[in-house]
Amino acid sequence: MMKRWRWPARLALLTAAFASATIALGWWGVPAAALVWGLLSAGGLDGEQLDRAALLAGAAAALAWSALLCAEAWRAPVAGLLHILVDVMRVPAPGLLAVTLFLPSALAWSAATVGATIAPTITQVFVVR
Amino acid sequence: MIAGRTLRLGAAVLMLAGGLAVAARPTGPVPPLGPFLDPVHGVWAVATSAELPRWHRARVLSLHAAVDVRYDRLGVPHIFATTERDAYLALGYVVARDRLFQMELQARAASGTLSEMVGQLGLDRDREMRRLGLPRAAEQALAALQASPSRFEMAQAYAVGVNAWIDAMPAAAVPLEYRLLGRRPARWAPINSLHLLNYMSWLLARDDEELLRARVAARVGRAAADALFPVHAQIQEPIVPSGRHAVMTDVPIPPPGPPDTILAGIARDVALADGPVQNAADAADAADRDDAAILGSNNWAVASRRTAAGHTLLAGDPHLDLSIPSIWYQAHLVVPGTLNVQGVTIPGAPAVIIGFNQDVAWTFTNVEADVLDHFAEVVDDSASPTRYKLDGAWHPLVQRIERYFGPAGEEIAVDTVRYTHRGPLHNVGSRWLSTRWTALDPSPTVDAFLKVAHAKSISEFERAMEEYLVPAQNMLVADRAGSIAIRSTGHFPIRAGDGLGTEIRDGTTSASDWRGYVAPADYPHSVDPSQGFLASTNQEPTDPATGHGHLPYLGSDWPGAWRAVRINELLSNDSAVTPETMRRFQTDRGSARADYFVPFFLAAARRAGVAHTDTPSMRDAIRRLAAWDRRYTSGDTVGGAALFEAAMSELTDRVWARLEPAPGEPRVATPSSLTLAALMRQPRSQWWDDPATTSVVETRDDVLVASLAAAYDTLVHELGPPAHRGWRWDRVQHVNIYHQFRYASLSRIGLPPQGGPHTLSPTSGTGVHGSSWRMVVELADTVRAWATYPGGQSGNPLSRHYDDKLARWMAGELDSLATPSRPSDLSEADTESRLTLEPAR
Repeated sequence: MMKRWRWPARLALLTAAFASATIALGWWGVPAAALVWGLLSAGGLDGEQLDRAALLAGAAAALAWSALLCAEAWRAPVAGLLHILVDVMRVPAPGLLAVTLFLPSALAWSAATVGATIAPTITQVFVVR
Repeated sequence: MIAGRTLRLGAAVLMLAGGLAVAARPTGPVPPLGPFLDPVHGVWAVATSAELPRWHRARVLSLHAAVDVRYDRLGVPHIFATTERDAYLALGYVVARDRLFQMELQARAASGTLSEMVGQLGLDRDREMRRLGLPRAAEQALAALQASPSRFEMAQAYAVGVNAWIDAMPAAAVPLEYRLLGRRPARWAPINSLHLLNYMSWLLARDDEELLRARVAARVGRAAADALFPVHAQIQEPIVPSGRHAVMTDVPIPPPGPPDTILAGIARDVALADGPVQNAADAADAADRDDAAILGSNNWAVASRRTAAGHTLLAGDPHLDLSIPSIWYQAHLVVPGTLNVQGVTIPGAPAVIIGFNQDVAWTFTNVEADVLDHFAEVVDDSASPTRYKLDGAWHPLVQRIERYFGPAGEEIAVDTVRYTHRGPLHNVGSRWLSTRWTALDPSPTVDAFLKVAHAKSISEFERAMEEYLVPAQNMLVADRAGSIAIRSTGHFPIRAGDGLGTEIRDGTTSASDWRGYVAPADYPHSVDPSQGFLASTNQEPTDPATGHGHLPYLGSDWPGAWRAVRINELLSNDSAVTPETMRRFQTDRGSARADYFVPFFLAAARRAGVAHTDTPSMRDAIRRLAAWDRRYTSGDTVGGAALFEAAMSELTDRVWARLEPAPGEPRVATPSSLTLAALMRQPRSQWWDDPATTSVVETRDDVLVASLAAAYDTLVHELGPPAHRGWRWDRVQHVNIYHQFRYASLSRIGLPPQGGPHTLSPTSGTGVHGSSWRMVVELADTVRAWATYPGGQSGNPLSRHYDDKLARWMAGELDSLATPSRPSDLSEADTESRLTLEPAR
C-alpha cells in the first residue's frame, strides 16, 4: 500500500518544491531544486530508478509551472496576454505554452540526472577524505 | 554499467548546458527564456499587474510629508500633497507606475539613445537627433537650469518620484515591452524631461521651408515655387480677428518656369546626402503634404456674454500622431492654498501642459512657425572640416564625437558632429549647411508651465508664458472673470534682409545671422474681441491686409484655414453656446473645403455638356456629388465623401504633375489645398494644361471633369459599385492608433473616422493623425470640465484603462472630470484605487 503511493506522493512533494523554488528564486529555482533532488535521491538506486527519479523531476517541474500559470489565470487575464504574445512572437498559442512547460521540465530532468549521477562520486570524495 | 552512466551524464550535462543557455541568454531577438517564461516573475505575471491594487502604500526618500493619491474611475490620479515639490514627486511616481516604458522610449528617441534599447533599428533616428544637435541642446539647457537650482527643483523631484517607483516596482509590474526586449527599466534622470520637450520641438517646429522651396524651384523655377508656397495664406481667416472672413486673395500663380539651376544643385545634393531611405520618406511626406502629413490642432473660447449660462467656455483639441498608450496622461495636483491644477501632462514632463485651475483654463495649437534656417558655409576641408569662414576670417568648428551603443553596450557607430556659432553643420553633397533652430536654444519651458498652473487671470497667464520659447504655440486662455485671449507665443527669429526664412542664407557673413527675436509685445495677440469668441486652427495668425502695425514674419504656407472658416461659422451662428455645443463642434463633420470645391466640380460638369458627361458613370458621379450634404458621416448613403476625396486626389495628381521628377514618381512637394483653391479662380492657368498631351491645351474644367470621371472609375474598381452604401466613408477611411511596436494586438486599428480631411476632427491618409485630447472647460464659480483622449491611462495592454476612453472618443463623447479639492470630495464609490506615499525615515 505504502509503495503504491510512494511515487505520486513524491511527485506532489516535488511539484510543491519546484513551485516554491520558482516563487522564491525565479526560474533558477528549478534547476537548483532538481540538482538537490538528484543528489538526495541517488542513494541506493540503480540506473533505472535513477532515470525514473529524473523523469519525476521533469514531470514535477512542468506540473509546478502549470499550476502557477493556472493560479495566475484564475486571478488575471492570462488568456488576453496569450493572445498578445502569440501576435508579438509569431508563434501559435499551443507552441508558446509547450515551450513554457518544456523549459522547466528539461532543466529539471537534466539537473536531476546530473545530480544523481555525480552523487556517488561526491560521496566517495567525502569518504576518502 | 560505467559506459551507460557516462552516456547518461553526458546527455544530461549537454541538455542542462543548452537549457541554461537559452534560459539565461538572449537568442537573436528572443529574450532569455528563463526570466521571460517564469510564471511568477516573468511575462505571464504581467497579467496580474494589469489593475492597480485597491490600496498601496510606499515609502519614498526625500518626501517631506505623506501624499494621498486617489485614482478615480477613469484611472486619473488626484494627488493631494502638502508641498508643491511633493506633488510633482508624486506625479513622477504615478506616471511611471502607468507609463514607464513609454517614458523611457520617448526620452531615448529624443536623446539619440534608442539603439541602446532596440539595437540597429533605432540607429537612424539616433543619428538624426544627434546631428540636429538636440541632445547637446538638452545638456546645455540642463547646465543653465542647474545654475539656478530653484528653477529645476520640480524636475528633480519628479525624477526622484520616477526612480522611487522603479526601485519599489514589484517584479510583476515590469511592463510587457521591457520583457519582450529582455531589458530592465533604466533610471530616470532630470535631463530626460528636457529631452522630451525637445522631442515636441522636433515634432512641431522643424519646417524646412528652404529645402522644400529648393526642390520645387528645381522643377518649376523660383517664381512659381514662391507662389505655390506663399508667405501669406490665400484664404484669410486669421486668429487675430480682422473683421473679414474667408477672404480669398487673388494673387496670380505664375506658370511653371524653367528649373532654377542653382537650387536644382542644392536639391540634388540634399537628395544625395539624405540617401535612399530618407528620400523615400521625404517623398511620401511631400506627396501627402496637403492633407495627410500635417499635424493640426483646434482651440476656441467663447466669452461669457455669448454663452447660455454666462460663463466663459474653452475648448482644446490638439491633433497629433495618434498612439496607444497616448502621448497624454491625465493628472490632477492639489496643494491646499497653493495649487489646484488638472489636465494632461506628457509622460516624462514635470508639469501639466494643457488644462485648467480654479480660475483659468488654457490650451494650445501649433503656430507652424518657421524657426529653422539653413546657412551655406565655406569650410577649410570639404571632407573633414575643422574651420569655417566668417567675415573673411577662419573660425574653429566645435567638434563633438557621437558614439552609438547597442543593447549589450557594444559600440555600433561613431559620428563627428560639427558646430558653427549658428548650430550643427551638415554635409549636403558637396556643400556644408549649418542650421540655426530655436529648439537648440536653452529654454525655460518647464518653468513656464509650472508658473501658469498658478495663474489667476489672463494677464498672469500671459506674463508667465512670456518665458516660453519653443515650439511656438497659439496659446488660448479663458478666465473666470469672463475674458478670453489668444497669443501666438514663442521665439520668432528676426532675420536680416527681406526678413523671410524661405531661402538658404550665405553663411560666410555675420550679416546673415538672426538679429534677435520678436518681442512678446509684438506677438499676434487678441483679448476679448468684439465678436465674443476666438479660434485657432493653425491658420495664419494675422491678416496681412489689415495691417495691425508692423507684422513680423512668422512662417509661410499656412495650413488650417478650412477648419478656421468652419469653426468661426459655427461660433458666429450661435450666441448662446453651451458646453454641449462646444463638445458637438469638436467632432463636427462639415467641411469648408468641400463647400468650396464641390460647386467647381458640378459647374465644370454642367459646362462640359453632353459630349463629356453623357455616360452612365458620369451621370451617376454628378448625381452623387450633388446629393452629398458635404459631411463626412457613416450615414452618407450616396458615397459623396468618398467620391469627392477620390476626385480631389485625382485633381491634385493632375494639376501638380510637373512636380514629379519623372512621370509616376512621387512629387517633390505638394502645394496646399489653399493654393489649389486659389488656382481654381485662374481657369486658364498653364498649370491646368497636362504636359503629357502636347496637341491639346487643357483648362480647369477639363481637368475637373476628367478627375471626377477617373475618381468614379477608381472607386468602382476598388470598392465595387456604389449601390447599397458601398462607398460609405467609414469603408474608405479608418483611424489607426498604433502602439510604438506596431503589433496589431497592442494597437487599435481600423476604427471608424469622426471626420475627413480638414474637418474639425480631421482624419485622412493613413489615419494615424487626429485628435489627441479633447477638452471643454466651463469657468463658472465651480469649474466644470469634460475631456477624453484615444486610449486610456494605463500602459499595460491587459488593463481596462489601456483603451477604456476609446469608445467615447470615437463617439465624440467626453467624460465629466472629477475636480475634488480634498480627498474626501471623492467618494469611496468614485475611488478606484488609493496610493499613499510616505516619507522614508
